[in-house]
Amino acid sequence: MKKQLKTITSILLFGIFIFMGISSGEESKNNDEGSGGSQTEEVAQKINIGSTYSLDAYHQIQFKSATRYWIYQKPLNCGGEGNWSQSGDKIILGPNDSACESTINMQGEYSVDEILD
Amino acid sequence: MGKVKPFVLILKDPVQYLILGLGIYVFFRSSQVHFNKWLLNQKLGFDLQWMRTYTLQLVKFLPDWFLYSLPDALWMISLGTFIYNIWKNEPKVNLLFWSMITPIIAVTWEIAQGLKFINGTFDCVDILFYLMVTAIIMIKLKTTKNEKTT
Repeated sequence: MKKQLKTITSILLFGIFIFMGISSGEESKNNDEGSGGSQTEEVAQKINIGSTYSLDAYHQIQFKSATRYWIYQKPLNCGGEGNWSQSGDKIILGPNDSACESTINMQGEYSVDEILD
Repeated sequence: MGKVKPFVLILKDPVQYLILGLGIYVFFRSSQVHFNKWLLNQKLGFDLQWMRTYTLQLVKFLPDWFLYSLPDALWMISLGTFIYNIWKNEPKVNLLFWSMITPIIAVTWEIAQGLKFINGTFDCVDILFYLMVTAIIMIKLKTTKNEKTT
């Protein structure tokens, strides 16, 4: 490589790396120190994918993946699947395809503590 | 193919360091980081988010230096290696000049954070990691045999 080309390449590299430094922006440190922004991921850390939790006396919920849940009634009937997501410190259960009305009605918003308790 | 090889050699090591550093960001850091926000909105974002659901559970077991300081050090060593590979066949004074810009940028960046000139959190451990990388670069420069003097 000619010297001029090396100089241009080096300056470009510095520019790219400084841009990367900016885009790895450290609001994250504030988040992780508890100023609130990473609530969603705190939720993700509390909910174990694959584990089953009680929603109430009859309904059990299993978080099958980061987006899908399976809900059923004890002992094991009226099962249905649906999508779930997180919003702040809330878990949102989308509609499920259960054949039972009471299980279908379990869709909605829950706090993590409601699910973990 | 023979002509491609030197470029591969320039890229190989720095890219590995960069991928390692980015990996820590992608799998163990908050989705509020600008880079993660962008990446998670791309096509592979759904799969990444799924993987992050598992990897984020490991965060509580990982030390702060691994999460916060190591990616910065890997960023710095990646840039330093890129620059070294570009200038290693040039006169040593040029190699030294360009290689030293990287640590200067990194340390200035951290100090500027401490003085609140730019966003971010000043961290002494970051400085310690930067100094370690600077030492690695210096050792590498010292062991570089370069005949050119002008």
